[in-house]
Amino acid sequence: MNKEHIFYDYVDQNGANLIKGWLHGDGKSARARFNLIIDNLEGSPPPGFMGSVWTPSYVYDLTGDWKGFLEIRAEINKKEYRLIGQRQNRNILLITWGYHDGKGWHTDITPGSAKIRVSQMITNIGKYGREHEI
Amino acid sequence: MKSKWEQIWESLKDPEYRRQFIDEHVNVGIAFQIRSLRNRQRKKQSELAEMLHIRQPLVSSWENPNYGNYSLNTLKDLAKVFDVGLLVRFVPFSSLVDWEVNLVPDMIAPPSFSEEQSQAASKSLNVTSNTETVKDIEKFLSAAEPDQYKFNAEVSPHA
Repeated sequence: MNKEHIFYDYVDQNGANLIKGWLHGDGKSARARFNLIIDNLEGSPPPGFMGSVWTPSYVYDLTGDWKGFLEIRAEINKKEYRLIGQRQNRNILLITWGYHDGKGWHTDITPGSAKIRVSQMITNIGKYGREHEI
Repeated sequence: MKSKWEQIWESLKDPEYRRQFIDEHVNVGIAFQIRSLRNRQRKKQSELAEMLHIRQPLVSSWENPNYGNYSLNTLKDLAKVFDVGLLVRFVPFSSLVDWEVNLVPDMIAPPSFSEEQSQAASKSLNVTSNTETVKDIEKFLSAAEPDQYKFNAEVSPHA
């Protein structure tokens, strides 16, 4: 069945799916919620179309150094997990993650590295991307 | 690579993920449905709140996938306001997986009863107009030379 959108996970040069790795590791408690949110977003019309849900509280547009990126949030046991990506038409490229612990926002990579990952995925999706894995 | 269905099924072998999957299937699924239905029916949160005699921030909470505190009565009230059906049943996990894998806009925001009724009416109109078209073709053929449009059963179209 044709989906409205497809989510891709970032894969590093060794072939490891970093998004999946996080969702099975530190982000494990948010894994089911993220997967279900992604399923629903994949089945939702794009922004501007009737019934579209590409708005808070499903998807948040980032600002400042992270402008151009979007994030999905899952709050589990008062800790807010976040998946960060970028929209490329009907494809959503998930490139990293982070969390908010009530005091501040934490992530392992800089906006510059995030942009590099996006460009890698755009130029070579076969090597640097994989359809989102549960 | 495994299909999405197979990946979900594999994950469900873990009892902890299975429990989370049921929770999120309801929590996330309902939040998306409320927002999508409200958008489809062009209602504001405040209008929906007024129809349900509640305050607007509660509607906003219902539409948040992190809310997860719906009561059956709330869902029944929402089904009435949106004029859509509500299905609450125990089902095999494979049904949940089927639902997730095949999600499309009309499943997230299903048509209301009146929309379905008008869709059914327009389908019936199409059937009538198709019937008329067939009659027109038959009339045209009968007015043509008798053998001109006669199907030659001895000639195979793929020969």
